[in-house]
Amino acid sequence: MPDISQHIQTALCQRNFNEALLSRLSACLSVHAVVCRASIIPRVYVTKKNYTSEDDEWAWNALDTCLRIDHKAVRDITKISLKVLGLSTKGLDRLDPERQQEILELVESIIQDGWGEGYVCYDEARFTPFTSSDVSHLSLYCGPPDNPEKEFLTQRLHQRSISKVKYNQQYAYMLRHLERSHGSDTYASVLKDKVDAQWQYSWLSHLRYISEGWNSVGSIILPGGTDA
Amino acid sequence: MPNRAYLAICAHDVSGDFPSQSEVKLLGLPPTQISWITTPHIHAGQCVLVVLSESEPTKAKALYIFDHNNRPFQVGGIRDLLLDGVRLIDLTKTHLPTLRYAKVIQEAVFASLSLGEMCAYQQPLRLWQAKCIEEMLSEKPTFKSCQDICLKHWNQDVFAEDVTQRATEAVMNVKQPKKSERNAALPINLNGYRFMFQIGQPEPH
Repeated sequence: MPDISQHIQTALCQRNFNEALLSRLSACLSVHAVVCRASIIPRVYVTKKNYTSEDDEWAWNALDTCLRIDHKAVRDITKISLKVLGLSTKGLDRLDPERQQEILELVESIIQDGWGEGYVCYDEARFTPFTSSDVSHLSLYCGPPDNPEKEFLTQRLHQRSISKVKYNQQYAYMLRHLERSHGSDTYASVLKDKVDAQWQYSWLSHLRYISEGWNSVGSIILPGGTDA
Repeated sequence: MPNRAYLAICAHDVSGDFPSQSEVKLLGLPPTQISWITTPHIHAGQCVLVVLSESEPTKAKALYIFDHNNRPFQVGGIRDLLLDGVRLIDLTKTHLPTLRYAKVIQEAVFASLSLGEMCAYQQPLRLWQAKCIEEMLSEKPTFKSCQDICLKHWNQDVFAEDVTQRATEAVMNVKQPKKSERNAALPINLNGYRFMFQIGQPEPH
């Protein structure tokens, strides 16, 4: 593709977006996620105007979206967005870092024009306890929970932060043990990969993010669906 | 005249409390005497950097392994000679394809086992891994020969039947790495040191 930025701009203008199902800005957000290698990670766009707003519903909605949405639905909406724009994950992955940065700047500016100045916030803690990137800071903008739904979100954030500390301690202990006993050979590297995969699964199931019979469309159109 | 440093492959496992083992065999170099400054954990096929004494080529002045950031980490010798600047001779090139063959075959075998099986068979698996690499490095085998060596050293008496079956299938089904993959240089990071690079030939000994 000769000029992918031009292609994205043209596609955003020419393709028919059904705003109820997939908006132009959501499609841009999906492109941002793929370039950041976060295609299945729940994300929200936080604008500066939210900070000054006295209404805290935006923060509750953002938390609700990230903490309850099914990650398989996030993956599906990303795929749909790329298909509509005529892009592919592999194609975006293969671009050189400078071109990827160019795309990030392009989609960020389009999103900024639509939703106002802000930043994309990824809930990476959904998948791994070993990250500082999550949506917990949004709870600072939330008032006290006044209904069971908000209570649930607060509890989940609280449970996740406690589990995160516990998992980090246990993981550090396990890594030290692995390094002491196994060194750095092929056996050790494969064993570490297997342990990492098991920890990731354990993290997802511990926080009950893995769900059966998920409904992708419902999850993505109605943020905070019942699939968590 | 700067010291001579050799980037070389270790031919055998070196581990345990220092200074129980003071000799290390590096491919392309004569058996080298070293005084350890920390407990060494070097496995067969691991890349090390050794600075040899000019007057006594069988004595190492310093020995480094590479840490998780691929930076040199000194495990033997008296002082850090890399800071003085060295003439670096790379002896790893000829062994890279063999190491890559060993790696893909062993990764395939380990991937075919569960986490529990890997932990339960830790000792025999590591022994198998070391034996295979040691034999592979002592000759220059083709990919097919590497597969045969891996099967030859698999001790069927130790492993359960289904484990042996899966491992055998994994060895037989693994694909040979592409030329660009097997010849790719080792990812070592020597930024910050003054080196004079030289692609070396094994020294006569």
